[in-house]
Amino acid sequence: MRRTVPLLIVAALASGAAADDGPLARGPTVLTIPTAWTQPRTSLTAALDGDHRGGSGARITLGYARLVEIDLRGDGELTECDPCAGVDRAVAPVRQPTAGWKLALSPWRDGAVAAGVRVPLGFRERARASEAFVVVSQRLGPVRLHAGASTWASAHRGADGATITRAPQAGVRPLVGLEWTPEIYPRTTILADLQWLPQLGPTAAETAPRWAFAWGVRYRALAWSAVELGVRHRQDDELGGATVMVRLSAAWPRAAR
Amino acid sequence: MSMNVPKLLIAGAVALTAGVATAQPMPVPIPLPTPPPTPPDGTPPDGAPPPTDGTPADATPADGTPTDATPPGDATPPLGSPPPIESITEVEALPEPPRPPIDLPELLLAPSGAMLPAGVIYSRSGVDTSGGLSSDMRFGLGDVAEFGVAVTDLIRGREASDQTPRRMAPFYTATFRMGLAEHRLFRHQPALALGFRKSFEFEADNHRSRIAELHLAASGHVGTRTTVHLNGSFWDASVETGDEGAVLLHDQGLSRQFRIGGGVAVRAVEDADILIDYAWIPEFCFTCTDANRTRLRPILSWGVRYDLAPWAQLQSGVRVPDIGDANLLDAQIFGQLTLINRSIERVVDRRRRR
Repeated sequence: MRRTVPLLIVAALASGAAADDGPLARGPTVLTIPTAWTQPRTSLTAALDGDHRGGSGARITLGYARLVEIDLRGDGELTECDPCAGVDRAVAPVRQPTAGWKLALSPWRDGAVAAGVRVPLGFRERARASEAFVVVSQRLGPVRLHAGASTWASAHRGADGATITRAPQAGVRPLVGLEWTPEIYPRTTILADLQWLPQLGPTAAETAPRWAFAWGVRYRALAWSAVELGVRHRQDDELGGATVMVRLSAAWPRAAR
Repeated sequence: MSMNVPKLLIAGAVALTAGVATAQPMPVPIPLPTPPPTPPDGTPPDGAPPPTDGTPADATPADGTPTDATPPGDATPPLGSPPPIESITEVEALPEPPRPPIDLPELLLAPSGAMLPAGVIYSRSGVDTSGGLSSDMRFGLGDVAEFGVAVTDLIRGREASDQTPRRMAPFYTATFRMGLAEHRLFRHQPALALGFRKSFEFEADNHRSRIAELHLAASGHVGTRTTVHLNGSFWDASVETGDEGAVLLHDQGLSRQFRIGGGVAVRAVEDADILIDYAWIPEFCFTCTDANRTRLRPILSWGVRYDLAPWAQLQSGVRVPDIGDANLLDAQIFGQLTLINRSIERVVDRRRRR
């Protein structure tokens, strides 16, 4: 086992670059974490997703100037719990529309560094959260590695009616991601990412970031569209508590084959 | 001393003449009239028959003696012929040289030292994630001044110090600025602008508020890709609640009125700039003590300005309204569209050239 992992990594790096490098191959996210890529020309990317628990989400991303990506998103990434522990633990998504802005630079070959924020749209008194992140992406043959850090600020109404706020200085957490496009399947990319997301509890003590790990596959069926299948695990969830999700993406202008 | 006066007068006259001469338009060359075309059968335009021995009309004889026939193109027009006016028209119809891009009068929020060229109309409209709308329209006057009106969504107010500030919009302002272009007085002189901005009275919830700002801004290019901006702003504000008298910011001392701001613009790619700026905006607290009724809050903004076309720019970025508190929850993402109309400038230039 100790030798298998390095061998797999070496084999992956040695198997050559992916054949297709279109906009969906350099997408704005791995599965859930942001990448440092931006599109080489002005482009629009849209995605719709759903999961087996009835959750859904949508995202539209505009990339321009080879430097910036702006997106509008609605999903259940932010969660709240009450109670947050024990057998009766109940976690539910908090739906909030958000906007994201990312500035990316490519100071070296096949690599990029980006910084961005994600803020709620409008003012929502019940619960809202903002995120700031820095991420570095590097392409190594068929593998794309992503690593960075993120922090969150949140404000929501606690069980006693008082507002519970969490400042961004309260904690910075890492985020990492991996994309691997095997040479023998140039339209298929294996995805995995890990990040910490805030979970809003009824008290300040129970409001804290929890890790979320997602893995899956992206298949670029057409030059302008892709489908992703993934599974997400959250901290404190049992294995059966994982969420299976599917996402359909489309890009305009479409990639050249 | 008396000997120097005539020398100075002569030098002044020479300089004035040279200036006037430099300002004159270049002389337009007047081409000679073109001769009538030669028919395909070789018949000269004057109606003489073509030579029957096969020798071309303009050919040199076999003995090498030049003929007295003048080539058609070298015909001298008779004295007193009117000049070919249509040729002058052709010169005027030449395409205009491309105009250099203009430096804008503001970064993301902070004023710059650049002035709009004469006749240029500039407008910027924006929206942000807090639902705010803003617009700014300016007009360049004689390369040394500009006038504009704007509506801003950045002014905020709160009832008490422990409450969340709310946007006070629409807050209308008028701006007048005058200044000097970069390198105008001497080399490396930064662009300078002295501006005054004043709001119309904003009334809501029995509160009446006004703001005014006087700023001196300087902008200079550093290298080919970077522009540095610095400004000093002097603020005043007035808050009236009900029948109470106005509480004025200038009663609180100069230290509460004067702030330094600025920013940097870096041309990261050939058609886009990365901008960072630091500006100040008043915030009202209607039930606070007089000393805290108006406070100046720092705003940090960063973003990218993208040249969509010579007349349009797209800007987007992030601003944190109170960077002193590092409040990420109040951060806003904004988008702005800048339009530049140079039609009047073009018409004025065309008339000047005539």
